[in-house]
Amino acid sequence: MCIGTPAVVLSVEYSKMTAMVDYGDGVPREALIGISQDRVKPGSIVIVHAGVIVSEMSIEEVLEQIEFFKSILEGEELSVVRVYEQLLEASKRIRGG
Amino acid sequence: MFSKLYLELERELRYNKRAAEAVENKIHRLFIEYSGREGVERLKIMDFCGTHEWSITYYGLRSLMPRGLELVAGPGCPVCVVPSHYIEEAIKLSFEGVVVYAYGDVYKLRAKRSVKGAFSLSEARSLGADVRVVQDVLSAARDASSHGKPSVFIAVGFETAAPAYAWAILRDHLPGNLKLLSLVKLTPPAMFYSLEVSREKPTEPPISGVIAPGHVSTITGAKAWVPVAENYGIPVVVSGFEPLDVLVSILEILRQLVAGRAEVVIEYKRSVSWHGDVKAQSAVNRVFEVVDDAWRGIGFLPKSGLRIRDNYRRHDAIAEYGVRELKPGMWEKDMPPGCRCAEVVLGKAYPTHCPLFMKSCTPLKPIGPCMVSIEGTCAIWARYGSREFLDELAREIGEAS
Repeated sequence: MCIGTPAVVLSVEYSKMTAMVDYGDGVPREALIGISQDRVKPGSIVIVHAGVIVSEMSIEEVLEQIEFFKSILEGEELSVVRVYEQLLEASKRIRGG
Repeated sequence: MFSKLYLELERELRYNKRAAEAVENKIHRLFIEYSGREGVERLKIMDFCGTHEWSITYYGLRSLMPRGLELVAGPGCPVCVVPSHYIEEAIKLSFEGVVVYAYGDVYKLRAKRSVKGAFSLSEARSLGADVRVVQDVLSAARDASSHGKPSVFIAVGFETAAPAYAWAILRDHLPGNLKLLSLVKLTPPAMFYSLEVSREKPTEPPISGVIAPGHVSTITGAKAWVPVAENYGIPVVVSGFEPLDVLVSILEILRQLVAGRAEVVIEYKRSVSWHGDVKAQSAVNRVFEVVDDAWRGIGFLPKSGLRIRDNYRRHDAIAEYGVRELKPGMWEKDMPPGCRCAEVVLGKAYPTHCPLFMKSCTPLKPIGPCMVSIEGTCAIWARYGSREFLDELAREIGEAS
């Protein structure tokens, strides 16, 4: 039971441990925060499983993913790495970094 | 902007043929090197999680593997392993006037014995019981508070779902009339058991590597799999769910085998950390206690289930309605006659080895538990096929002609 759907966090209600998220269809939906609340902020990309946020994609983790792909593919040029890098840029912009 | 980029990322991980071919070539090269050096003709890698099995079958990854490299599914579908007993208890409650909330696949799950003519919650509903399908516990909570009737939510899942139930209780999301029937299971004991039984048959190769569940590991952390790598001396790779993720994970397993290493490595780095989410683990520990639990078709596995602690018994359906717990003395094989789901969930048989598969047991009319959920191995093979499925059909056609 690992089906997870990526979503963007729109707003967070920390007292209830809930967040409004957008799965990409523009419809805000409520989800429980299953992980540490300080990892979930407006603009975070999260994975939602059965209505609960189980993971947040941090910038550091994305950088590690890029490095892992690069190392295992040993020099193969991968456009996936380029997309990850764009994702990081967008995340920095939303968070004002 | 985010959504657009995420879609682009998904496209890359799913349809980048060049990257997939590069990984595939490396897999073939390493398999030849390893099998030649070790003198093995067959090598088994277990994909534990139902969603991995879905990706492997849906994207046809088995057809990219060299002959002899087998990908076998494990017990990673929590719906498939819910004992018939608890479905019967839930049906009974529904006939006693309790509103029962269930996920869509639990709703269709078939019990071994009927209760008042109903083999499943869906049949109970047809016979007049109030059974409602929901996608998450918050929806059940909202609905139950709107009508105020006695209600039960069937809380199935693995470590991934457990924090949702824990937070629902800790943050008072559950109205007083809604109780949870916790059937949550823990995955490491089932993985140990699968690896153990894979060594029982000397004619079959044992599992030589594990593709470990990604989202379970977001909560538990990859460290949960260290005992697997250490005790069984096999590589474990925590993998993402896109086809390129799974291919890269298989490649990493082969790299370790060739180098003679057995380590836990995270491929799904964008979501999984070594320690997992400690706050989620702590919430689960506060609300639940670990118990020996029964797995359908398998039996009791030590410390493999979660039940609500006494402190929170006001939320517990077992305490409220006196739901009978299955005890080891009551255990019996609870598969329908002829069904081989018990072997399928342990990676000992492929769905095509079952005499019922796609004959009397189909996704539209499932008999065995693995044919119900979208994460059940039989249901996945029935929908998307596989090279083994085609081989089986070819054999049958050959025999008939």
